[in-house]
Amino acid sequence: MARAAAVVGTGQTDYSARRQDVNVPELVREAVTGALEDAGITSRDVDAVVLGSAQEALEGVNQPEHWVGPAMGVHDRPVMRLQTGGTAGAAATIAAFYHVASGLFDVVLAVSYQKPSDGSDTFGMPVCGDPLWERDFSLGAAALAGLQARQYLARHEPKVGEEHGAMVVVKNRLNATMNSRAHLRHEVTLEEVMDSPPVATPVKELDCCPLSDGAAALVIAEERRAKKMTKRPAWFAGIGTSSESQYAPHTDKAYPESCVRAAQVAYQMAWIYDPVRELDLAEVHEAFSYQELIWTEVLGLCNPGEGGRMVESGITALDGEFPVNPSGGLLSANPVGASAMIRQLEAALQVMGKAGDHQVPGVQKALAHSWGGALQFSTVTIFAREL
Amino acid sequence: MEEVAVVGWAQTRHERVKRRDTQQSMVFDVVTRALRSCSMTIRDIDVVVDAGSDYLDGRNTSNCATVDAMGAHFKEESRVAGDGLLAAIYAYLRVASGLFSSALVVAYGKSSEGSLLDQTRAMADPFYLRPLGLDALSAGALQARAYMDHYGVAPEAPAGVAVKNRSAGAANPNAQLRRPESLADVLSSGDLVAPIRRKEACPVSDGACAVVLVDWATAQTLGVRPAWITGVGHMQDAYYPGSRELYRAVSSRRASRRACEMAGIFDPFAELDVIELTEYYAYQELMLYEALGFCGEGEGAELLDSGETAQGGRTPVNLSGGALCANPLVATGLVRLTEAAAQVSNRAGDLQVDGAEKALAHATGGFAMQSAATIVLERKRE
Repeated sequence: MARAAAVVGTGQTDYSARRQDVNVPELVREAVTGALEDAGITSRDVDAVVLGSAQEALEGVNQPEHWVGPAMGVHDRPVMRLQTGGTAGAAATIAAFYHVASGLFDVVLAVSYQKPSDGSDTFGMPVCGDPLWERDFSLGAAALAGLQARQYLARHEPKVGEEHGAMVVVKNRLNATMNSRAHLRHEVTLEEVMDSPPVATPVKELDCCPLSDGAAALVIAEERRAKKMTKRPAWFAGIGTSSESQYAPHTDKAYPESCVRAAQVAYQMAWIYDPVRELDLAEVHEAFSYQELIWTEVLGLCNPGEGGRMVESGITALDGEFPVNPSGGLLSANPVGASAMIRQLEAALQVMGKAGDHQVPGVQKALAHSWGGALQFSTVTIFAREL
Repeated sequence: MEEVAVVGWAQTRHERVKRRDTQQSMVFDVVTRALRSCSMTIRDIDVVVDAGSDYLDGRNTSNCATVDAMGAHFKEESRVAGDGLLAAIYAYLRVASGLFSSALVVAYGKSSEGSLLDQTRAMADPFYLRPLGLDALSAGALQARAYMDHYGVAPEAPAGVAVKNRSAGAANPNAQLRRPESLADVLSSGDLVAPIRRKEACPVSDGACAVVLVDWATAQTLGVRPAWITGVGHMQDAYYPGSRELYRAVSSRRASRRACEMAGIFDPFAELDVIELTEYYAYQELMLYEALGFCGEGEGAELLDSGETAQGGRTPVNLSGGALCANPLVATGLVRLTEAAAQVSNRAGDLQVDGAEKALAHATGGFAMQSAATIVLERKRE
């Protein structure tokens, strides 16, 4: 059976719109150095590296693992890169978990990054479309989110409205003021969000995540080493991923089944029957505000259509019964390919009790979620304080 | 750790341009046939690991478009950016963990849809290498020159590799180049980028490959002879050509040593029966003989001349014709795995080496073989 594994060290850069003082490998090295120091090890202790970053076009370098890999200061080690769009960072962590779980590697470094300021902002996204019959529409991430939000609102209005999306923004931006790494660290009001100009109706400017430069890294170790390295590791308790077709007519963007399935697998593995009671918090991939409402429903934290109530009643606030995105989420920082790993990193930090000003007291189990592709790839990772 | 075997596989017939195919149709074809080859259906597959290149596909996160064709709809699926052999290693790790009993590995490349050399030029970092216009071919030429200068290798030596592999490829129905070449033909084919001659370089191919991996218990139920994975290794060397020992294939040496040690193989050339290497350029096969410990440093050409790596030799290398006869980039390394698996499971047809029990498959990536992946396969597990 699979070996147990845990996150024993974390590192991340500050997230910002444009890091002009560093290039991509230098940016990555900041996060790697942080993670190694946090775990109290050196690069010599690392057996393998798994890298995750999204579309190469965001930086304009093909096969960046060959450029970035050796720059991490981890020489003569196996390097593998995962590219699954938005979930790339989480996919890297999960691959690192299987490196350890297989028994072949004891200490693995999972690293993710993106430096979109090196390339053209939206160029990276619409090029996801089929060259013959989709690309002319230039369907970028915001347009996709607009369609998703419309489908969601149409299904649940008047239980959920545009103001619920805005409430997510207000909550997450408030949380970000307590996260020193976040990119956007000033509060916004409900009125500011509602009055911001439309991007892809009903998605408005302030409903959208920023694009950030940044990198994140995790040191993942097998049981014996993990216990030596830290008193309080964050154990992998459940992992589930699922992919779905881009074109199948029955796919439901407002309730993606890949996410349902990923969550089921992770809950089963972690022996979780009632997620909202048995988990303490969630970090979800809300690239657009409405998505937080959708993910709370799809992950089974509330019933369909009740996402709005979750945020309106304060349940998902930092001091609520079930905090969602205590870090401020993607709405406060989004280094594309790293964002999914940052969800895991924040969930692990909460379990390890090292989240600082946005620490939720007494966390035993935390969930991290991410999505990628054209709402096609879903990952769910659950960390636990006890093995 | 669970034992893992390769039980099924399929590859396309590789061609310069597959006009009647899309990326998806190639993928669907090989996935369907790979599953059929081991009497499995897509329902029996627990996880799909694919390899692809966004640059090659001309679209971002290009597995978005192949999820259905791979049969990965509502399955665990992940994409490795790199050669399919690396994806096979990831799939191996998943099954070895005991959490999955079967995995499907898919790799495809349709290089005809873009300019391959331009894409390799984009592998250069924007600051130091890109202004030089370095691409895979010129990086290879620099390495060939460094190798030949360092060891005093004769300029004609790599041509022998092309003659050997093109001769072998003539018997491989999936190869793109199936016409043997004489030494004189290769030597007079003209410089592509000196010292690499035109007929010492891989072709540009469209193609795909799929492989099925299963755990021990599943392998017992399928009624096909499994090729057991007994060793895996992957490794990366430094990035800038100037900071590497360019005349040595360092990452290939370390990756294969890891794989062989894991398999309990300490004299690879004596103990392995069949070897499939990724040689995008003829000189690379000579360097790889040395890196994998088949001969001493600088002695690759002598080993080639001895005929021991040719068909009928002690340990044939690239009986399929290797990358010099078909190069469906991204799938090229995974094709090596299928060729090796076919040999150790006695399913190689006309190419079969009698009594082949142990084989090694190898892939490289990056400029001048910066990274490498290897898998060792065995007929039976002691």
